[in-house]
Amino acid sequence: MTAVSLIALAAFGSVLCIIEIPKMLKAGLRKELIVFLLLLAAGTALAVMKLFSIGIPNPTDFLVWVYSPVSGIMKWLSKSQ
Amino acid sequence: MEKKYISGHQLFTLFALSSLGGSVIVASSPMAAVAKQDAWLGALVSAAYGMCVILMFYFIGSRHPGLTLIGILRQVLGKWLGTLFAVCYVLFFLLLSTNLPWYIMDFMGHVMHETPQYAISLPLVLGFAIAVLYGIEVIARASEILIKFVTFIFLASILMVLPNIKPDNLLPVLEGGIVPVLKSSVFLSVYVTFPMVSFLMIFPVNMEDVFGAKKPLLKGFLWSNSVAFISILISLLVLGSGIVSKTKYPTFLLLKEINLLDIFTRIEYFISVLWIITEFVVGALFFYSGAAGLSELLKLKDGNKIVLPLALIVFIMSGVVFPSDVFNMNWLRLGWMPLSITMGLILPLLVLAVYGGKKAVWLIWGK
Repeated sequence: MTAVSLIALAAFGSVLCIIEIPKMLKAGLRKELIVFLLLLAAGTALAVMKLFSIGIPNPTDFLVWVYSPVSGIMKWLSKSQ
Repeated sequence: MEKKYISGHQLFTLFALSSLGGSVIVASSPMAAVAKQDAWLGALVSAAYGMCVILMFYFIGSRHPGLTLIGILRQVLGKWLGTLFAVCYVLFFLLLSTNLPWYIMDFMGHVMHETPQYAISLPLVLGFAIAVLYGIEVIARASEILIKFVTFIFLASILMVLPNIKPDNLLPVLEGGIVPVLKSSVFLSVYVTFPMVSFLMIFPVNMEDVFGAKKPLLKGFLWSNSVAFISILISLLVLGSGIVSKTKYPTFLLLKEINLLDIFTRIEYFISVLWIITEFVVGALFFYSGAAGLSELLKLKDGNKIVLPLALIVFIMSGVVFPSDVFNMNWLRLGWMPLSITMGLILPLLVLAVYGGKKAVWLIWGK
């Protein structure tokens, strides 16, 4: 399963690059190219991490931590009395 | 992204479907846990003050024609503070578009135990990406068709479940006083009202007739709130508050009760069709808001180029954001509620206050 997923991931990335990068170079969209490559690299890295079960930092954990000062109010809100 | 315009009716349908979003099937459970049999009153309260919040979004939007939320934040709060909040909003929208596929995965997981989670979220995220690549016009037009399905499915299923109602389930009214009702109204608003701040990414900039948007927005809000209200009321009437508060998907359970002449039975997956449609529309909307916001923030000329890499990230993260059911429950209470209130109520109020303050200063001292 891991191998299939890796192949699918590689195929997605390379096909996207082959189709999009020449277009962007021709149109002179340099900033788009940089953002595109950064996002694609980030996405591929996340996918590989997920495939090999390396813990990905969870944004919801972070947000629960950010809002921990108001957790008392939220607990009060979700109590019936 | 190039300028595309949507009509008033399209704004109405898009707003109605995305405001309904995920709420119709999940929100009644926490509401019933707080307010017991009075949860339906909470839905009315939520609609009452939600109307004011929607009017506030309309007011903010209508004063800044031709700008998106990002532009409004930058213009009102200044370059640095505005950009900071704009980044928060973009991350918020992208986070939401990763959460929505998770709910579908969780829900379908009850049905299809063996299917890997990602196999369920792949078509959904692919749908988001395709919708965003085609642009907001196409999302709006799709919503125009889908709203007919949704209304039909909803009315049909409610009509079929009507013979099972037990009016005793609503008694006694206001047993615990008015406070639990007010508390439960917040649980609906965090789904139905506050996330609709994402409409500021569409509403002034993609509308030709900015001032004509008030009626569609309010109409859409009324539509989604009536659907939410009816589904909560009927779930309480049929199942009773005890069962509603203890199940995760009460509306789904509700339709299991349908048994018309022994012919129409086991049609509970009707409601899941409705739910997947509304989740798809709201997910596409959030993903559009996130992608359009990011490309405006980075001043990209062609925003479509970053959609597919973003979709890959959203796809992967949809399986990461909530490791388990318990985690999700905890997040809804301690993370999602304050987040939604901050993004949908406090920050727009801040924008409104600063805008009003600037106007007042300008009026008193002249230019």
